[in-house]
Amino acid sequence: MTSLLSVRDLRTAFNGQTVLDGVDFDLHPGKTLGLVGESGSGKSVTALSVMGLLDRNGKVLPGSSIKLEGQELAGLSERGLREVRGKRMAMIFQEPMSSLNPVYTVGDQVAETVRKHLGLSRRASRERAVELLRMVGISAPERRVTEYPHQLSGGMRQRVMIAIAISADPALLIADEPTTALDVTIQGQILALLKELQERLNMAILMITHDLGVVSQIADDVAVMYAGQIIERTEAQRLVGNPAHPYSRGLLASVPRLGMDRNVPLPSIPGSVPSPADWPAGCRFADRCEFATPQCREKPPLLIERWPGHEVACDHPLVDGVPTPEPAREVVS
Amino acid sequence: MTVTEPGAPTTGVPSSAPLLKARGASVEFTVRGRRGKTVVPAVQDIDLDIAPGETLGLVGESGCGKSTLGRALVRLADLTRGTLEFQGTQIGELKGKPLRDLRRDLQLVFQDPMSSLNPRMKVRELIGEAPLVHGLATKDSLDDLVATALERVGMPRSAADRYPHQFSGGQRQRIGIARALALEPKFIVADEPVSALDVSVQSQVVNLLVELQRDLGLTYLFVAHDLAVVDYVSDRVAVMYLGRIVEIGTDEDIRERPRHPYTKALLAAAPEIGRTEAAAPLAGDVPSVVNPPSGCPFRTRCPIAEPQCAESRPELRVVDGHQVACHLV
Repeated sequence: MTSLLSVRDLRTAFNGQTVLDGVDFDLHPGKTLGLVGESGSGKSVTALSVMGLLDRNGKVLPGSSIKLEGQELAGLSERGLREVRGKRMAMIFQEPMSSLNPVYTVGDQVAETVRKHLGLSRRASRERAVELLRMVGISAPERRVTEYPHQLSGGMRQRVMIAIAISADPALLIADEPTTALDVTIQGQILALLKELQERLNMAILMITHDLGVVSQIADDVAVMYAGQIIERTEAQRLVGNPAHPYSRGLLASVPRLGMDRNVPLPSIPGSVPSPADWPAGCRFADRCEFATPQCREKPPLLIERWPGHEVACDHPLVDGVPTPEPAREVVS
Repeated sequence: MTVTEPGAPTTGVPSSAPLLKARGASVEFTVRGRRGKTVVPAVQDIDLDIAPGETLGLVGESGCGKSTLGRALVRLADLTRGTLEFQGTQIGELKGKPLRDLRRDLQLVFQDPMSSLNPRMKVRELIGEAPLVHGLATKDSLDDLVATALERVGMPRSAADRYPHQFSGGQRQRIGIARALALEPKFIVADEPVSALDVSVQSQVVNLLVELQRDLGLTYLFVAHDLAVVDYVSDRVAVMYLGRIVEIGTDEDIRERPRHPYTKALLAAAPEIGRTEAAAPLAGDVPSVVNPPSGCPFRTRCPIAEPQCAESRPELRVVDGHQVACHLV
């Protein structure tokens, strides 16, 4: 299967400080890839690099490749990017209130995008806006188009953002923590909506989240990020069942579940994520890893396919929670 | 003080005298806008007993009034109706010096330590300010007090000379906890204390809070939207919706035998690792507290609502050994 989005050796720096350090992944048409990590792991910077939305201090470094439908986006001019952004790929954010303009009605904002991307007339774009709002499950869209963002609930605002994002029928939707600011009962509605739209529009989704529960609900594949790199990548169900990287395993174990005994401390990962300036020379997780050996601190592990469809950047990947003793570096296919 | 007075909760109530007791507690905010005054009833008619050494979890979605209730219990929001009792003394009306003295016993840990810690103050001042005001330390003994408070939360002494921005989110929350503890309070309201933290750090802070309670005999009101965290730390759990408690029972009651349709929906909605099929999400949005539905506040989103639910508001009553406010259970 050819990939829709193919990212190779993506490196991004802010003010000369590298924060993304060689990110590789593929996303296939109509599929969902969950990009998981904690704050500072680089997951949002990855999304912004793909979208070409880094602020002026941020730069995708030479040698990086971001291909969407075969077209190289890295190094593309702003004008070139504008042809792709919104049309072939679109993005929604965590906080819809800060993405919507408070002084324009919802209808104006949806219609504006439609007019820009599809070149429709004022009236036709207005009608299309109503249609789009209906598609994202907003009731009485004819009335809603005249309302302002502050008159809508958080869930409704996120629906409006989704309507804007899908207005030009993009092949790729990047969703950066789209449900994090929402209440759980609303979160379920938005995830269900994204799934439904994905099927209807055959749209690929790059889901950026810190929430492994969300990933296991919506993603086909998962890539786990740590300190600017992908450290494990496989099918979502395989990752939650058989994490091979000690960090993935620690992350999964740290998520509290109902019915845990208070007399037993919650599993946690000691320490905290190193900032880019303090990245260690060897494995970046070694200082927090219970299985780390002296060699782990010397040589950075490569992301290697250890099992078919399961890549991990660890010299002692876990099998059933137990580290494999011998550092094996050959590729298994 | 009698145990059998009307309005007293009848189950799940600790047998010892409560540390904190609320009856009919209500908090209203008045918002002045172009169209005149609007009264926002954030918290309504709460009856609650919290036993010494207990953790009461408070869950609900944004805007349900859980943070306001927490603030009211530590007198950071004023009650518009109802009474509040701490160790047998009425505290709802306290003002001036008696209220300042009371603040030693009642402390709050905030969600976002970055916005609750003054960025221009060193950790020494942040932790030491209140103990100095309350006369728990002198300028000379302050360093020791600060060092003790820091060590208790797993931070080095040397942290005292640094500023909040020099720490990670988890460390800042530890400092926030150290600051609350420096006054040796009896009751702590922890308002979403871990929801701004990354998961790997979140459990470190949860473990710390549980450990401190065990060592210091603290009583907690633990406010959070994450049911699993609340279930883990709490002895009892109260579920709030539109300013009211709709179900309250032991952590096990709420987890294993939830009776209110809203509690069931909350439990079902939490995304769970390894579950690919999500439960059917609850339809619609939370109604406005300013203009709540008639009868049961939850009926507009309730999957089992019947006509009678629009007519009268269900009161909390005992079902299955704990309290539920629903006509249909």
